[in-house]
Amino acid sequence: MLDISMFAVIVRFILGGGAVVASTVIARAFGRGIGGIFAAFPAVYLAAVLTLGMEYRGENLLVMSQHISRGALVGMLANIVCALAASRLIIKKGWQRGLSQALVIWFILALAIYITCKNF
Amino acid sequence: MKPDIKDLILRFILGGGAVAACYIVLQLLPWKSFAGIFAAFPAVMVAAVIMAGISKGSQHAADIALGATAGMLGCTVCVIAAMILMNYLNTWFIAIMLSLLTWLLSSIIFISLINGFLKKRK
Repeated sequence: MLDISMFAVIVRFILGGGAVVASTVIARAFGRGIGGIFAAFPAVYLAAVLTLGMEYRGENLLVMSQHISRGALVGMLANIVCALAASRLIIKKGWQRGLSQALVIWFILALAIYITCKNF
Repeated sequence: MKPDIKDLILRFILGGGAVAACYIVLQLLPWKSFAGIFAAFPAVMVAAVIMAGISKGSQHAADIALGATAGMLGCTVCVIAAMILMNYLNTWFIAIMLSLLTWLLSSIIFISLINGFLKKRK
């Protein structure tokens, strides 16, 4: 039933982590201007979509990419609320508790938006 | 270990974990688009807030989180553009490249708006 190979998981872990680190290094190399923009590079999303190319081809690749993009859009909308909540909660409760609670808000909100959109 | 190296290791683990989680959920669950939620995991923001919290305290960490809103708005535009372009162009790679261009343009606008807001707040 489970069609997951450990090799595929490790490759995605390395590519995803590498994409995030690469965008961070580029952001720092360019300084505050262009660097600030690269600090917000959608590395995780891109790595997730690009690695689909290892598994799927043609029409299937487009369909799977659209599935991932639909879910990512839900996650991105929850991200905006999460970041705003984090900026408020961190000041009130300290960075550890504030960040943890903001991430709980992110997951619950993403789940709620996903279920709501799925039912309409 | 230097804080800079710690920061990069943290980003690597969070980013890699999110992409791996996305793949595992995609294979396990019948609702394929649910996996995409993990592709949007705010790994960069979480790592930046943790490092700012450790080195400079909660106020700076809160500013980082607010600043990240601009990046997230840009990423949202990027994903919307990717979905529309994949639908209309039917070409996977070109759609992704063009969506990156929309990310760049929208991020420039959102970052200048949020920076202006942060300067006013100070």
